[in-house]
Amino acid sequence: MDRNWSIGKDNHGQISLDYIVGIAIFIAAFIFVYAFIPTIFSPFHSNSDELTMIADRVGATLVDNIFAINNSTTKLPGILDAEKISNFTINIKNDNMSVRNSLGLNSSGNANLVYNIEIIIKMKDELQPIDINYGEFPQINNVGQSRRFVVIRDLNKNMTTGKMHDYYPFLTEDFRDVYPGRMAILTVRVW
Amino acid sequence: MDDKGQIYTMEAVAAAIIMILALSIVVASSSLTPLSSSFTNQHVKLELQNIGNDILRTLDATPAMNNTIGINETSPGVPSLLKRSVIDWAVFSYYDIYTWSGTTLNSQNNGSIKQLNTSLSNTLIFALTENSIAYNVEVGYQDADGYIRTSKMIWNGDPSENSVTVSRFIVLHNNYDEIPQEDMFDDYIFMPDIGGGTNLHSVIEVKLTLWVM
Repeated sequence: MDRNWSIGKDNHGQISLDYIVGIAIFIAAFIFVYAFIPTIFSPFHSNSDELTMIADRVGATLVDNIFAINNSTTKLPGILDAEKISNFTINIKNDNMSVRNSLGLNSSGNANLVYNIEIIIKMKDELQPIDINYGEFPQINNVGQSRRFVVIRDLNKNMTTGKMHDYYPFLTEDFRDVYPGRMAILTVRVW
Repeated sequence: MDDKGQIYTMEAVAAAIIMILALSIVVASSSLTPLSSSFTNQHVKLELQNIGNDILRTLDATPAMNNTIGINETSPGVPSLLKRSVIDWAVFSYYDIYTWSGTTLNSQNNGSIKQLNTSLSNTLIFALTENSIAYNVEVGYQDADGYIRTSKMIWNGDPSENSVTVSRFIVLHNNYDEIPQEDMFDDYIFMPDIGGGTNLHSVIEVKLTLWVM
């Protein structure tokens, strides 16, 4: 007979009502998740895009222009002069604001908003890298980083110590006369 | 009694529409994935391109001289370190293929030079391998029939999707410093003389492919 299917007027429409209520709650929950999906993926979104571009530009300026060795008439990009590196180190420790302005890190004119910079040179067969900074280090900010490959030459063969060796005494002695120079990875960090 | 059947159908239609709506929201939202090419990905490729170009440029701007007195890039006859690396690989290693073994670049075809030890290989090991960047080096040249061929110098497998290739052309000459005339190298089919009796030997393209491991 019709025992397992009740055609009573009371139970008839409630099955569909339950279904609609269930689907409505499901869709409401799904729309809630959908609205918050961008924040679920926010750890993968980088906020340091501008800083990375600045680091690329500063790295290119240093390697192609500021540190590049002079070759009687032209500059050799990618081949760096150790004397220019050590002069830069001395200048940035004495007056870091003017060095940062000359590198184009001051976009607003406000002295408090000038970007900070750190240059790390890791040379072949040297355990300790050369760290060029003026005492400021990134705290919990975003940091932009750019790496370049360079060859560093130290031409001061007649001095008792080369300029780089004078400033960074942990460098091994035979850096001064090595040709074509020491290979190094130059890292620029901007924050 | 007849109305109940129609109400069932209308409810079924409404339920089906709601289910299709839910499915379309799910499918439409699946495009929000972090695996797409972001700016960080592009910056990694830019860094690889910069480092690759730096390596080829500095090696090609440095003459292969033994003395340290008077660094003189204006000497015209002295080949650069990049040229020297390619010539030494072609002549002494007989254009063998080398693969990184974890410590050295080892010959794959049981050649006489077991490990590659040129300026280019040492530079690549320092700059790239120690920064977990894998690389392939190929040499493009023109063969005796005029076709452009590519030969592998260093091969570490097929590169990944995010690989960058940089290249540099070098010109080889028939003189004592680069390719000596009396050397039996001229008889090999690899990098033949395309100069037709002039001082020009060949134009070679050095291709460096980099990818992050």
